[in-house]
Amino acid sequence: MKIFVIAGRLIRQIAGDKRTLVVMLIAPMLIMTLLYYLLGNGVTMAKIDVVGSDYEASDAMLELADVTLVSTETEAINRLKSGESDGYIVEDRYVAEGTDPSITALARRAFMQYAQERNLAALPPQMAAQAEKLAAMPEIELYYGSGDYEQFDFLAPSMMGFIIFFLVFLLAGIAFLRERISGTLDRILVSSLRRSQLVAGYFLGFGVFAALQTVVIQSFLVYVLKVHTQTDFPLVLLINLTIAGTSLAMGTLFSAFARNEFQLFQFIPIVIIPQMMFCGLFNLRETPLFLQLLAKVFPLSYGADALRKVMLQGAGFSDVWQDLAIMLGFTLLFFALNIQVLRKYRKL
Amino acid sequence: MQAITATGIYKRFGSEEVLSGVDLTLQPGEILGILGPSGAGKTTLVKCLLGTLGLDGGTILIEKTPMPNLRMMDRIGYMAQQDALYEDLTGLQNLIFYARLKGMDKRAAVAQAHALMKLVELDKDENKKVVNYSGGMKRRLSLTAALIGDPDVIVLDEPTVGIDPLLRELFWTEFDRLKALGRAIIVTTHVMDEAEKCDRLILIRGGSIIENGSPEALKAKTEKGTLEAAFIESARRSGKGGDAA
Repeated sequence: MKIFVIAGRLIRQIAGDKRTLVVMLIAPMLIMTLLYYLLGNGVTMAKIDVVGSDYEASDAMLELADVTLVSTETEAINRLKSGESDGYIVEDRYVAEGTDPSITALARRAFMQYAQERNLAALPPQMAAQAEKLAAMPEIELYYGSGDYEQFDFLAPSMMGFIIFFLVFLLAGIAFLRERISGTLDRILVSSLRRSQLVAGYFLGFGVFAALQTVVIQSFLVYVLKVHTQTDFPLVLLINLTIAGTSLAMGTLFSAFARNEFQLFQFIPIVIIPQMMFCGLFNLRETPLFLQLLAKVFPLSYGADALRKVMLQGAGFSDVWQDLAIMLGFTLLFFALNIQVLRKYRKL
Repeated sequence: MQAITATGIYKRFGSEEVLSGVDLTLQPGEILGILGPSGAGKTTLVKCLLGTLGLDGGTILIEKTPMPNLRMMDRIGYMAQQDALYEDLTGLQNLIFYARLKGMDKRAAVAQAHALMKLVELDKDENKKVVNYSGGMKRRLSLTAALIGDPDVIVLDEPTVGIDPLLRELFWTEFDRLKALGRAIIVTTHVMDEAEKCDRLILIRGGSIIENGSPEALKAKTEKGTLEAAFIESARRSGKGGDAA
């Protein structure tokens, strides 16, 4: 019963605090929208200059590059230096700007297409037809997803998990910290409230807003930004609530080791940033083994993994229950540690 | 039956001994003043009595029950040095919340919260958020939060710090009313003229009780006949120096 008293008070506090509501509900939509446009409108074509006057780009080439004819190499260099082109072709030389690996990769594809077309043109017509057939790209089938997936579609599940984790950690941590520094914790512990009831009340109170936040973010992604997703809505909601639960437990636990808000923020580089690095935004496949092992101690790596499986691959509960169980284990561990830390304030 | 019986309380923070074998008793219908300079160990003693700070030695009984005990916790009212209020809730919501934690049902909690707000003349502002209260209003609300649930033992840690003389008078009128109802009250203070209003005083310094008696008895021990002189002489006699947390 007293769990509901704590939860009810938290709900009243948050519901009456417009700023907190904005941070919990509006800020994630703003971040997602920015990412949608930044990642969805990334560079897909190289800007290539060809030195000469008689080159006519093929359709295949125009799919890979925005081609401009220039009269001299000096002009091509000047355009490259001023950022007007990503590289140029002069006779047998292929020059790329070279500072941005992703742009260099696009330029490389255009150069290869150019070289291939030039080599084919040099062959006798009979051989050229045969060579063109040999060089043709095979038709690729996609096991998951579809050809119109964009970078944002791939990153959206991880980003959603991270945003929920980060905001819940911060808000729950600050709320619990204020409970201690304002003296209200001392006062509420002069009652028959058990420490476990206090922590559980926080779970319930914040859980309501975490659920609301999750529904808002999910709905925004699916119905407004129209992110490609293979999933059923309730399973994603369950995963996000599990992430929020772990984050809540971590936030309240770490707040016990901070004496003010500034000290709580000092946990961000230690606790939050690594979660972001290991939540699937970066591919760890070719990283050193110790880094891959390190990822396993960060709870969000499991939550984000489950989100990716469900949203990108259409996995069901039976495919992600292990991730959820590990997250739940982390939550129970932090919950128990939090109750132990509260012994500092009252043994019972 | 004593409301509080504390025997041989020891408390250390690291290697520093903050309370060194403190004994005290408190009867129902008595106001006990704990007097001492800042850092003498008054708040530590209070938190030990409340059960929110573990002991390194000694025992505390509320009535006959060893502390900490969850059931007895509901029978203690506590006003901290800080206001300890939720500023983004209204005054009434604060009181109802604390009442519900003391185990009161909603109807009774609401009724008592209204009554207490009226008692400290905050009834017109009971639906205002606490963030909009003045310092004095917050202290009054903080006092009522300690009184919610009709506790048998009321512990007030420096309740009148930073408030004007009129409000201080109102507080002491309320303390006397509670005393007349048989409540056992502990008031910590370092203000001598306020200490004179207590039935009994313990003077604490360096984590030990250096005097225990009525204000009159303590004053009679010194030629000057003031509590301040009694405190200074007792401190010299005891040889207690360093202040504690």
